[in-house]
Amino acid sequence: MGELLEIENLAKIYISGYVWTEKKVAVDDVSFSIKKSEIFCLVGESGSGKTTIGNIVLRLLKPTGGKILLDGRDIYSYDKKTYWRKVQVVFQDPYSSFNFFYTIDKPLDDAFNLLENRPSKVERKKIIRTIFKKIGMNPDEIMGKYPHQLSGGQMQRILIARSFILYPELLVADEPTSMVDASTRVAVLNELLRLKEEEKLSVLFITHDLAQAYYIGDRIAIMQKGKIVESGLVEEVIFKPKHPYTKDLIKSVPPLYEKWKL
Amino acid sequence: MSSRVTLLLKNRKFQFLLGIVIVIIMLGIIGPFFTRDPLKIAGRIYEPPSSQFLLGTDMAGRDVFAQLCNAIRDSLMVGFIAGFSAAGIAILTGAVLAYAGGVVDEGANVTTNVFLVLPQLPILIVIASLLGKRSLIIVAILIALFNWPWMARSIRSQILSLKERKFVDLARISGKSDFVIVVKEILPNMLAYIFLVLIISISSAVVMESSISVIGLGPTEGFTLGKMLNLVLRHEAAQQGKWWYFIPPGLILVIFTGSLLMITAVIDNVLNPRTREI
Amino acid sequence: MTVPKTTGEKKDKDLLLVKDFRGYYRGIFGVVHAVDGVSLQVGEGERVGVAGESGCGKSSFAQLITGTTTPLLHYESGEVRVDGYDIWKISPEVLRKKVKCELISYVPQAMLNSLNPVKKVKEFIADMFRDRTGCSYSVKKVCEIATEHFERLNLDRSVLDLYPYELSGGMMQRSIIAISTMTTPKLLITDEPTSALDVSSQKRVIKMMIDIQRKGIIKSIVCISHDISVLNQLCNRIVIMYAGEFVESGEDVIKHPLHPYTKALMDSLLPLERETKYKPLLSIPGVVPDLRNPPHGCRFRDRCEKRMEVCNVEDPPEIVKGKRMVKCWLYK
Repeated sequence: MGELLEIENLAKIYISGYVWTEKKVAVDDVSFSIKKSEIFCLVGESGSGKTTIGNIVLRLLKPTGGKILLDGRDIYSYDKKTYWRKVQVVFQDPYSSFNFFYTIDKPLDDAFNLLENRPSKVERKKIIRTIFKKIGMNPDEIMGKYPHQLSGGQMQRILIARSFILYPELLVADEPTSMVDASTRVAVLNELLRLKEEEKLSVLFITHDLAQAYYIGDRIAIMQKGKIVESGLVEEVIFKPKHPYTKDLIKSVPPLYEKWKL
Repeated sequence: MSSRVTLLLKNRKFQFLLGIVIVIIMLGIIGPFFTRDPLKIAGRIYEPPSSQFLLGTDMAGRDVFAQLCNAIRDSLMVGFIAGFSAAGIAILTGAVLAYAGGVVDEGANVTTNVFLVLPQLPILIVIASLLGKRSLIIVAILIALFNWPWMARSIRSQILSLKERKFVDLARISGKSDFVIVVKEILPNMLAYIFLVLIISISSAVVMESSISVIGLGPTEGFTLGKMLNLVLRHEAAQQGKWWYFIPPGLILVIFTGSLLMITAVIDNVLNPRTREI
Repeated sequence: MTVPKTTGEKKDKDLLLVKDFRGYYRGIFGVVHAVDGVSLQVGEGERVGVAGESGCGKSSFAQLITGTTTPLLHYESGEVRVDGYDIWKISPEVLRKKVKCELISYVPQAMLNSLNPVKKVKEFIADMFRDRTGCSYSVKKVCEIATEHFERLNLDRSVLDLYPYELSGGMMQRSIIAISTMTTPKLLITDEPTSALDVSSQKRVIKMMIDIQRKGIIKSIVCISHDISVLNQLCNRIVIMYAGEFVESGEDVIKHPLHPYTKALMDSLLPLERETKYKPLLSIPGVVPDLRNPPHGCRFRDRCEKRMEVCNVEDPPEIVKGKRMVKCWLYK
């Protein structure tokens, strides 16, 4: 079929306790697919299961049921390093994504770990410099600095820059802009759009913000309590919603120009 | 991070306390080389301090200052060996348990609880009286056995919480093994905490050793501050008013452990982000 | 008493009057000019929003106008008058009794996490009520008062018997706002009331705050947030804050922004409309100036495309026209 990522009947159930057990269903029979060079948005409120799906796709969590195929193969059939060369991540909290003990160069340097032929230290520095210039950041102002010396937006863009080292096929972006200011948010989103256009990257964009999903997405799926309630092309789902939950969600977004009649 | 260290080093209280601790340690390391043999009778009985005997002589005419220096050395040796080994075991078990999870972790928690409840001093007394010969190292190990459980537990909690941070996930996704992650990502973030734990461990070990030595159940070889206090008690030096003999050992103990503990308070005060930085 | 007006309309007695106010953080890191010369008037019946991005000083502003500051934040100069009382000049006793217990209710950021997890909601209310009014009512009596208040605001009374962890984020935030207005203060000040909430809960919280004011339980609201869409729904006047200063304020700041920063900020927002997808959205280049050394002249000048010579040298004046205010040389 040529799909990049296929998810079939995915399920994740948490069981707590040894004798008296409690079940919590985080992901309930979810199926969708992502094409090459496409931005697919997974939208839902907190507790809907969207972050869990992201972590499962990243192989940070094991699913309790269902199949996930990357390029036609089960994701667990790849060895770890190969898989993570194809699938990468940008997390929500830039402050948590950096180890404050080291400079910001470290996560970028570590990414080279996944390549088969790891370039020399000098080579690595050169590549990193080129990448910063490519995304419009001045390497002299950033390299060698510690995370607390930079802003959230800058840190997120640096984390996206990791993708340029590896050229993954799929980037899982878990709420990448929710902790970033409005004025730099757009830079992060435009970065992802550019990666899609120029490097043919696909993005699994996880968010609670419908407007961002609309701006950046091609297709969208709305999640509620672990299930997908509606999915399709972004224009259709947002301006011609069918499911009552989707309709409710859209109505709850505070408009910027009009006022609600409250 | 180095800015924090410089901040600490510039703090007056820290400099003062660290100075005291270093002076005492130096007395213990260098002292024994420059003083007389503490066991040799060098003067008359119970001579008060003079230019010849800095702290006078004891009930047999031996140099008290020499005794003090040697006592510091041996006490510190026990303290440091016990402190470091307890901390080492604690870090290892803490890290392993934090990653093991499941039944292993639960079982270890139960065991730790049992250890925490056991009364340290009475058990040490019983064990000490059963062992005929007790070298300094054996005593250090015995003390360490009681210290590591609570340290392991707090280290485990710290590691568990750091494990949830995204930079750990990012390191995993960069293909790093769990071992490398613990050593290179998690432990560096815990350095301040480990340092504090170490200080507390050392000071409590020194005190514990003195506690069993004072009643005569300490190491059978070597000469510690506790042993000195034991002699003081047995020969009733306090009742006889020989202050140069009975005050120094206890005073050094109090000053040493007190300074160490105050250092932990200063470190917390300086490094705590809410009181010092924005 | 003549006061420089920033809204242009003469009010007999402003509920909140801030005049050329400064508050700095002082610590070993230096002196941070967090709030550097701001003025604001809030009359009865107004709902005013203070908008800005992280680091602009809006949370510090909230702390300073309520008199509850963190240890490192200090009052520097200027006035903050709540119903006539200058809160930084009166005695702590009057501040506590009159202002904090009767006039203001302040709901700080992330209040949801600060509730005592082992006390039921009704016990928390009883404690707060007793502290504020000085009356020693029993928990039962306070419960009755609370029930009446909750029902007036269409809140479920069952919340009172629950523990904090049993409530959802939205429910908790609405309860907190209801509780904080139980003693009918005149002014409600909230800091980021909806940030941690889901979109559906957000709408309910906004509705409730408007209700509380319309029903006369409180007179005015000051809401601090980075979310301009939320402020658009809640407030009738919005103030834009940047680098410790108020750069613009008025009733139609969103539709007709005047200050270059406000314009750029509005341009970078993403409303849920068809045009958004095809709009060229631009981010604002550069970074916020370090407030330990605020630059001379206009603080936005390094990032402003309309920068002029004078912007580098002199601090722009506050230009007032009717209900609007702009702090920019372009409008001189």
